[in-house]
Amino acid sequence: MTSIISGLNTVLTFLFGLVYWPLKWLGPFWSMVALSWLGGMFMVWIFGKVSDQAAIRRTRDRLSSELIALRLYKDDLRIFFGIQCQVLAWTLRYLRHSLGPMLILMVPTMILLIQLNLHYGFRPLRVGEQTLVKVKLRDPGALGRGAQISLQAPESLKIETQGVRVEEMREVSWRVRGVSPGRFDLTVSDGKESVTKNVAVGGRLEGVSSMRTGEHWLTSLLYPGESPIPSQSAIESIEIRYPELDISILGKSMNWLILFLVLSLLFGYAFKGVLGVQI
Amino acid sequence: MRKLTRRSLILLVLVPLALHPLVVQGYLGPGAGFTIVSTFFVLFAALASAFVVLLTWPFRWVLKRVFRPKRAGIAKARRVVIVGLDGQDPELTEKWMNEGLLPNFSRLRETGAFARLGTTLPAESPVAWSSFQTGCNPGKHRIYDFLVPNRKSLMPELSSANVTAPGRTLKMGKYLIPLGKPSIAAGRRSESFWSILGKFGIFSSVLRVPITFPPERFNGVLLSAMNVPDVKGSQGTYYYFTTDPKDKRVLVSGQQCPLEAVDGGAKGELPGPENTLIKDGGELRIPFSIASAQDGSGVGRLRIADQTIELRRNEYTPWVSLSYKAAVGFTVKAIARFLLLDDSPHVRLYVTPIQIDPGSPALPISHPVAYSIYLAKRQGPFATLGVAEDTSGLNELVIGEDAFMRQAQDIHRERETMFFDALSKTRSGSVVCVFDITDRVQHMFFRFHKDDHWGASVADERYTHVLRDLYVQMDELVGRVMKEIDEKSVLMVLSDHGFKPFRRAVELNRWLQQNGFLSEDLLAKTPDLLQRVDWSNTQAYAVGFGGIYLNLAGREAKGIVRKEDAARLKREIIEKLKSLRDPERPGSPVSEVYDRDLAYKGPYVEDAPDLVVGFAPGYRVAWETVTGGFGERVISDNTRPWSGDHNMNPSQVPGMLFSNRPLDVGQPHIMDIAPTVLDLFGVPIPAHMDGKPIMRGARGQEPSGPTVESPLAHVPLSPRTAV
Repeated sequence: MTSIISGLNTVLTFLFGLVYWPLKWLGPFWSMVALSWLGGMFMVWIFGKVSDQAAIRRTRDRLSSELIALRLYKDDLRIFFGIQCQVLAWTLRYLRHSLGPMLILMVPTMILLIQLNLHYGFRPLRVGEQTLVKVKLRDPGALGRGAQISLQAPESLKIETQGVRVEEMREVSWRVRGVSPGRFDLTVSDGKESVTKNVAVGGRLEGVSSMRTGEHWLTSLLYPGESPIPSQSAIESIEIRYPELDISILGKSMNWLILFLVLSLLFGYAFKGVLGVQI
Repeated sequence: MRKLTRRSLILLVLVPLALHPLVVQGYLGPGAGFTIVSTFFVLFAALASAFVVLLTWPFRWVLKRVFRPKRAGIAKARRVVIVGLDGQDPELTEKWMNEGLLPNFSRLRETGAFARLGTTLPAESPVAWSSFQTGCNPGKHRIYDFLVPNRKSLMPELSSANVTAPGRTLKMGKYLIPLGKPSIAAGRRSESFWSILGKFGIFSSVLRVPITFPPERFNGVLLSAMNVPDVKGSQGTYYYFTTDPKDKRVLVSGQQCPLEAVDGGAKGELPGPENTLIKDGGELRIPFSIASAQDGSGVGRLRIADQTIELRRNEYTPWVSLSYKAAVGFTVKAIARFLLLDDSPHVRLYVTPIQIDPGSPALPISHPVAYSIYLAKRQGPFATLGVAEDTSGLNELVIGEDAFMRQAQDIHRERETMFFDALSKTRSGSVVCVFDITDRVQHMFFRFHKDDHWGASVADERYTHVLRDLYVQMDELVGRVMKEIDEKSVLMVLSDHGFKPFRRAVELNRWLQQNGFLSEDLLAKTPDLLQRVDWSNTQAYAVGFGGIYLNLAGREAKGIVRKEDAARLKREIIEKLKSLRDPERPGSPVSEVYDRDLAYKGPYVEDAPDLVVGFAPGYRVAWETVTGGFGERVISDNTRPWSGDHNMNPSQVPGMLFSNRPLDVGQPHIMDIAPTVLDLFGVPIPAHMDGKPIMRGARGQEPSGPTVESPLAHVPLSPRTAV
């Protein structure tokens, strides 16, 4: 399963990279605008394909008619509240028609969000900026038994602290600092084997993998930036605490997920007519 | 299969999610996002409106009690339901009641009342329904016919509504931006009973009553009917397309358009309204194509405006939405239905008149405007044209009887749906709906009907019982209405006139010409629209369904008849017309000729035809006369499918009235309905109304004579109309 997910990740990351490559030169905000437009259109198109469009159209029309009826028949309270019940009933029907497509849409949406998270969730370390490297072990008792976990870094990264061991959390943490720009590999070793983790310092906007995880299908799916750590390894995951990427709009920073939500909603609504899709 | 696939996909997603608890991002994309957002807003709007209505209801109730006029008496009914069956004939109804075919009508007759209902002069829908709604004779509501002459331009025009483009425009390059809206002038005067009821706080639902366009503002909802134009501004222009180069037709009410044969089908352009936003913009058009196997299978695909619709020979498509784009941001929305008549060897296609889209009306066709949108959202698109059933398509032999009947039945079903919705939502007040199918089908199928002294003109077993079946269908409709009403509701089922065969056509302009009253200008290019009248030598002319007008000096633009000579001239025409004889049949084609000064009273008598011809049963004015044209002969056979009519002497074609309550009088008139409804609600009857209340609750009292004192008091109902 993990190998399938891993293969899928490779394909999806490559495809997303193809779309993303010409956009990354636009900077975080405008590239997000473009991706929101593409994503909004894509998801509306899928919604149109997997939903019963005729039923949604009928239901929406009936719902609209009941809302107009509220205004037309407002003087007869019995009729008015009867229409209120109809509004509720048709709203539930509308939700029922949308529920299936909503669940189906979770799959492409999740894939898209995972890829977006890879590219917009975090930014590379700046030269001179510090961050934490956290290594999590599989065996809960390994640290208690005195397992020796070491971290080696290339010259472009400086390890500033000794490893801090937290047995309860099966974690060892170091503080590192970027010395010069580039992409480098940290090496974590338990004396028997070594596992590497890519670290990005400086450079333009590009995807940074915050975590390299073990061979589990779900974590592999959620962190597609690097190949999974083999399951026989004592190391479960290696995480770099990159700073979050802030997208600036009119001088205010905004989380990428909120921006994507708003923009893709607006683009989806604006272009649903072009795509001939009833939402 | 599709459902199965969808379910499988849903399961594929749901099962892993259920097995592996995961914090999933709450956002599921624009489709789902809008579902949730709009659901929230819908519920919010509904709850907010409920809150506001509840909060304000006591204040509104008090304000209405304080400020609205006081009723004259106690209401005798909580609700009045009026079902109009346009043109249903009392004689045929009685015959089939006696044969046991109409149990619901019979029940009404036994438990309530049945009577002939006096109709107007002339006995035609725009006039009669105007009298129905106002309680007045035509001299007070000013509707005398479908078409009347414009005394200045000397051209025929619609009597009931006049739509004019915005007067001022802003010129920007080639664009003409309108500074305002089109104006719609109503021709009907006086006040409808639902408008009066509204002033007393009584709600009304009024559906498709003729001569309600433009829609008036009142306390209630209204959907306009007769005289609502199509998007071209005409009263119904249908289209005929064919790839057959030899098939050239002369269509009066329709338009033949080119259809180009292409590999595997045909392509053409559907005409629409004039583009008034661009100088010399011409007609807006929508291209379409038909993909057809052309193998005689009768199946094809219509592609029009991003829509693909299946065509099956002799089957109508559903209503197809059309958008005519005049300029950026200016679109005229319309609807039409397509009928593939043939696909081999030539493609032949019929398109209904292109009608105003009720869901996005280009002109107001309802009150409030949102009402037609409400209906369209509730039940889907529906016919909006004034005379929606395309009698012209059949009359000009473009479509056949079956196609016409299907169209009429589809429209009737639309009408029933909106009527029963109105009935369920109007618990108190008045509900009025006019069903036209009875009129339209009788016009077109009377030639198959045998039970008349004229006999059937066409023998075709398939259609022999169409009229009988139609009346049975109306009986079933009445039965369903009766189930919906309680003892506090008054039900009236009525028609505005009856029906008789139309076998011989009388061309009045030719008659006037042959008798020296009219001079014909043979050099005129157009034979109709009064263009061939030589006004300098013409004393009288005819337009419409039996109206004769004097060419009066000072009134007509080119008038020559002096006012002091008018009475003498009228007497002369009356005498000569009454002595008219049909060379091929015994008796006179003219039963009576009415002088307007005796027939009408009111402030608008001046606008009436000077004389109105009351034809004998079987005779009607010729089509040429209606539009101010000339036929070759004075009297000729009517060979068209339009074979039944009512534009005859009013006493020969009365309407009918059924009620679930007894009547006070034996000979009610259509003008009595409005004051009766007012009286049932305890609302004072305006003094100007000519009709009288006929349901004052005198159960068991012997019905008395006619209620209407003047206009047609001298026009007795024929003896068989006595109850």
